Amino acid sequence: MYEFWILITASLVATSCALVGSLLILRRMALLGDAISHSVLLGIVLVYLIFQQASIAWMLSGAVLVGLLTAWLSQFIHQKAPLAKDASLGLVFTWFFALAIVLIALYADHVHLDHEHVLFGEMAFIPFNPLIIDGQNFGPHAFWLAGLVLLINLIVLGIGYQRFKLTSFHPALATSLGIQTAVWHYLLMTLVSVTAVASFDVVGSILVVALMVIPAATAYLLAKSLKQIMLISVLYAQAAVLIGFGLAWWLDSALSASMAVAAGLLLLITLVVKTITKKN
Amino acid sequence: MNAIETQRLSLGYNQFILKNISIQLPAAQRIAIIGPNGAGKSTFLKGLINLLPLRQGQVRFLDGANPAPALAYVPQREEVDWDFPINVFDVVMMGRHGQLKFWQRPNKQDHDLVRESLEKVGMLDFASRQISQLSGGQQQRVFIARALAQQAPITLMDEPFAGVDMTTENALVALFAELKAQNQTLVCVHHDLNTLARYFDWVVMINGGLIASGPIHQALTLDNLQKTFEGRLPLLENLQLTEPSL
Repeated sequence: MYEFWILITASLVATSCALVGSLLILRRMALLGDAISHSVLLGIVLVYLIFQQASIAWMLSGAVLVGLLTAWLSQFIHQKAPLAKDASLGLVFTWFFALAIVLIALYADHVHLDHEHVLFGEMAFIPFNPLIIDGQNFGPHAFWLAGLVLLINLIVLGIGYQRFKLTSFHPALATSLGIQTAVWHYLLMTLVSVTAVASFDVVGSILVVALMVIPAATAYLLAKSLKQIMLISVLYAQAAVLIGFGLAWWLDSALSASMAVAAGLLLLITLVVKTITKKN
Repeated sequence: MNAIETQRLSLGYNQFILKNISIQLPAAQRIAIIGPNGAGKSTFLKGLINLLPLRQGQVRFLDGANPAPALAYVPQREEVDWDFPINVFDVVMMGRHGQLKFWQRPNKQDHDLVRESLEKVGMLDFASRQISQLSGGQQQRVFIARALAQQAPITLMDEPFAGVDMTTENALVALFAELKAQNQTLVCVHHDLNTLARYFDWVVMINGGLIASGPIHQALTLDNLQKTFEGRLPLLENLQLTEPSL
């Protein structure tokens, strides 16, 4: 059961990451995903410190608020100050992230929020933090969070699929059709934020971008439609989880890093195979 | 009826590029916007569909029709990521999505319209082709098909003739005639003064502001052209200023 909970939780998180990552890659916003997945930590910490709440709903709300703030503020600074997009983004998310780390060290280090856990994730501990309601053990907390976040992603992406496709491919056309491009942009940022929260336990905030970007980037090499890129990136993400789990077990190494390494190897192999088959 | 009416319209990104444009463009005309590089021609089109951060003044479409009509927009080709994993059919179908709610899927009528539009620009055989595998002219025709599928009363095009092959140019001219026959309005940023009078009925000359606007045979005067292009007038000797429109 121990391995089962780790694998199933990692698999759920990797699926969420692959889905939102597909859109991030197509919108050329991979680094915005990276930024948000870091800065949401501030949201979780602030909610914990101000409201003394660490339940799933509170964590997600705090993360979404700060995630959206990151996306908006970096855009705002880019427009108001003569700073390039990457500079303003780098400024905002690192500052939010650093502030969160300082706050954790100052006020919250003795509780569940320890910063090493948040930075690197600790998959091996997932089964030791169960969700207990009325004395009943319902399995790991992280599993339920990952499941809830995947459900949110599936529902929002499923219903808004056509709009996400249109606003990703051609935002100007979307605007001329009367579609609120900004709404869909911030909706995607919301999904990135909640996905980042679910990823903390599994891969930590540093490696989450590996799960968001690498499987989707690999799928981008092969896919012929948005549906395909989502489907293929989910498959690659599952493969990365399984191979990474095997690697970690074999080398007695960190689970999250092994999964990111596996994802990278899969990308490399795909690229090589694609190049060779294209030549022939 | 006026298709587009603006009052003291100023547009720009960080600062105004176009200032105080007050203009009335009649419906059911083929309208060309001309001016030198950087005059604000594309800016004008983008301002009409709310793509710019800076916008002052007023715009009315079709004498203030309510609800305001959706405009079909054909951007310059470079504005789109042609490596996006999508096929021709789906790009054209995007033109139908303005009339669908976000949860709705296209129905049979939408599919028929898309096929019809592709047929008109000679791209039906390419419907399932990836857009990354198209030539420049074919890409342009896909965009035109998308504008057609939109069935909008007003179509805006940003330099549709730029760098296209003969097939595409002919497709465009046929399309212009068809729009005209259906009493639809076309507003086109255009570069080639030599074809101006053949392809269009009405000309708008801008250079940071409005210089002139009127039927080609009235507005296309040497004086206006010199004011618009400020001595940078291209190929004036080939230009037949009195050629009647088709």
